[in-house]
Amino acid sequence: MLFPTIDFAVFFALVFLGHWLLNPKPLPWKLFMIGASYFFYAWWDVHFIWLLAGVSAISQLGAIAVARQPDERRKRIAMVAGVTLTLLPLLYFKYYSWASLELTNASNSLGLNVGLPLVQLILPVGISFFTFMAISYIVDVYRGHTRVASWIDAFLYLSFFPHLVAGPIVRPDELIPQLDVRRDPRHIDVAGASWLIVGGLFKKVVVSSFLATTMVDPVFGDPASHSAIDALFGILAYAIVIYADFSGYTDIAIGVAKLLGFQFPQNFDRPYSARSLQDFWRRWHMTLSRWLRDYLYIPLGGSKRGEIRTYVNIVVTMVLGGLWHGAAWTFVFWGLYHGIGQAIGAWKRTHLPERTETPLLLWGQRLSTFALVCVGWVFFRADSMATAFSLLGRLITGWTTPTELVTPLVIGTIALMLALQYAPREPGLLLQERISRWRPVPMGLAGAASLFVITTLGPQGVAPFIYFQF
Amino acid sequence: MPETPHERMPTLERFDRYGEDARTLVPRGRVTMPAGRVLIVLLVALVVWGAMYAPSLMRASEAQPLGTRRTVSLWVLRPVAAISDFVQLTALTDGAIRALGRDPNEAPGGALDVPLPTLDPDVSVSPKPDEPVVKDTKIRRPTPTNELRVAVVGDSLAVGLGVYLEREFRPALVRLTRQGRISTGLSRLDYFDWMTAMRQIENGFSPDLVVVMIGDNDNQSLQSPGGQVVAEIGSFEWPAGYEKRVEEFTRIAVDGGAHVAWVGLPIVQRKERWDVMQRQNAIYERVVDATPNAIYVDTWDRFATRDGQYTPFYWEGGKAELVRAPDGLHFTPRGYELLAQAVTDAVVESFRLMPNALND
Repeated sequence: MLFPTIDFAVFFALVFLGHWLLNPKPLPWKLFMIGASYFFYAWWDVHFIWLLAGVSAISQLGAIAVARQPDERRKRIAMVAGVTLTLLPLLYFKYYSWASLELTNASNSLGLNVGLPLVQLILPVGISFFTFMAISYIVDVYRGHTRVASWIDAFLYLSFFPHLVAGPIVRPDELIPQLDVRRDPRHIDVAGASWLIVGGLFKKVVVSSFLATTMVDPVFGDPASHSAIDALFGILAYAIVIYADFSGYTDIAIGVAKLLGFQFPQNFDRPYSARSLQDFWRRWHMTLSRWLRDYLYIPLGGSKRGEIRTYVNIVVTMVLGGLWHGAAWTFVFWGLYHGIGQAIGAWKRTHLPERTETPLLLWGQRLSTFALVCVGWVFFRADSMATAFSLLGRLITGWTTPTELVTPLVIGTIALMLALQYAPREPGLLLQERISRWRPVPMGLAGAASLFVITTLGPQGVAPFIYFQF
Repeated sequence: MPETPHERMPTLERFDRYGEDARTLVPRGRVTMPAGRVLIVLLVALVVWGAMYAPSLMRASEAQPLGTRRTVSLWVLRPVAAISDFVQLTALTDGAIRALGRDPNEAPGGALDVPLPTLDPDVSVSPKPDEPVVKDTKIRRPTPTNELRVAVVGDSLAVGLGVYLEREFRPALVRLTRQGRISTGLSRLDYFDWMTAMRQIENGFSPDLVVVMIGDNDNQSLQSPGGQVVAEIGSFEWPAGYEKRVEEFTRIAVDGGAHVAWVGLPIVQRKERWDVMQRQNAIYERVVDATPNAIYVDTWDRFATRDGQYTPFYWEGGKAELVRAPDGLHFTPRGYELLAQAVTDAVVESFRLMPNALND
């Protein structure tokens, strides 16, 4: 079920009612929420609810096994076994088709003819997200950061519908305790939640759809026939599209959770105002960044095993982070690019003296970081490495081709979205504070007017969120 | 000490102990609302938005395939739209829609919203034939000052094909417009009127070549642009009615001076669809065979196994490539590339297009 649909609006109104009616009764409430979340997931494909249930069961068994072991060595073995088993469905569904094809072709080209059976698998929606949450549950039990939850809590933690299909990747110690605390029905931050939901819908339905269809699809579709200016704005537009799409989804997810009395961690913090690639990853998909840090980079040794090993760990973490986004060489390259970029940044911080901060330096760092990120997005979006290089090449060779796609509206939309990365937060907070004082009917009317504008400006039908495929 | 009711029910701020700095908290000064009132906010927003948007939603529902979902949607929306009309809300919202730059009465599938490339006034556009075209002709030779104009039209398959077909042509000699529209077809002209759209493309772009890939959404009753059912799906009238539309559509392009490459529907994973799709392919092939300057490009066998079964892979020179999307219908980028090559091969062979119009 997509957030920006009537299906979801009706679903949520019913779940909201059931949720608050059952709130005083923990067990019926939990069962109701699990049922609602599985219904939400089954809306795409009913068959995969067994996968979600299976991963939930494996992670719970893994956590129990870890907790029951008498010594550290056995706990570690149980943890590794649990994580491995939890990972298997993700590895199979996400990477088997790609890996079997690559291996088969490699063996055929060497004349060995010993490939794996070729199959095409449908990637279950959200598998990467709930698998990562399941892993963090087992590992956090092993580390003593969280206790083993009840079976019901473990199932609800992984399936809770606001985060189910595209995050944020919520840690067990952030969500499971909230499941056991009765939510206060008297204090719902409706202004904050509405702000996030309406803003998220606008970003997804209006901004992302507009730039995707007018700039990104044509430019990435056939880079060779577009001018350097079209190519440049196509790349800039994609930076906005992926931000508006993914942060829009996250905002809606956090807003929906807020209406149910839950707090989710932030996932974006003005990423295009970052001053370095390291800073960018502190602001972009923050819950994935910290997951990669806590469950990959630190177990690899982090920065504790010498300088060279630190750089290697950064690169390995980012390559695997890239591969997490999809089974394709473009994602591997994108991860490698960010890994090397961050490793160079770490080297600079270690070996070069810190420069005096001036406005010129500040803006130089911000613009250069944004440019580096945009180059990375070319590989993330392109359907092949050849397309990516062809598009980047147009920035040099496309100056004689007439510019056809760039319009004042495109430039204005991109400029506005980038300016918002630097806009002060206070006016928005003040406006939310004012809205929070409104009575329910005027607030509902304002919501209706906002939805009307969004649905009128948006296209017929809404494309799935980009991150659903990951 | 016994807990007071207030202590048993934590406020949102108290969740702070579980989070990090990044956690979104309710800022001081913001007024919270009880759940009952929030439900009123939600219901008012949904009901009022529904009333404001009811006419558009109703048109979109009418355009859905016949079935329970459509029936239920219309059952709910018709009275809402009637009330909206009665209280003059529709007039108000129509004005707002116009103010936002949209047409409140446009078909649910929208208008032809991909702008047609502007033609240089110095470019000589071939005069449209005075009489219907009756014999095959060679497609004209493109030059840098008068590029070959290609339009790709159809449904979601044409959307994908257009992207990769554009890459096949040399940009200096060929100008291509991608006019594919998802979820459209020739059955439901009430949803998107391809006849009108094709005339617009002919008048605005004067294509030399029209590549058509359409029909995947056409297993539905034939409806006129006004929404009248012309032939029920499964009736004796349907095949003849559909064939007439295919003829009309092809003729608009051909009589406008274009050559037509009609790309047939590809084999799909769901076997139960094969009969219908092959019946449609037979119609396309029959119409195209009888129309001058038109060719049929088969894709069914090209993407099937040797024994005629569906496969998502394509083998060439001992190398396997994934060419079909997981939905068992659409193509991967590599699949669209192969499809585009099949089209250009056919155009070069049948219309004697200069090979230098293609990329190396």
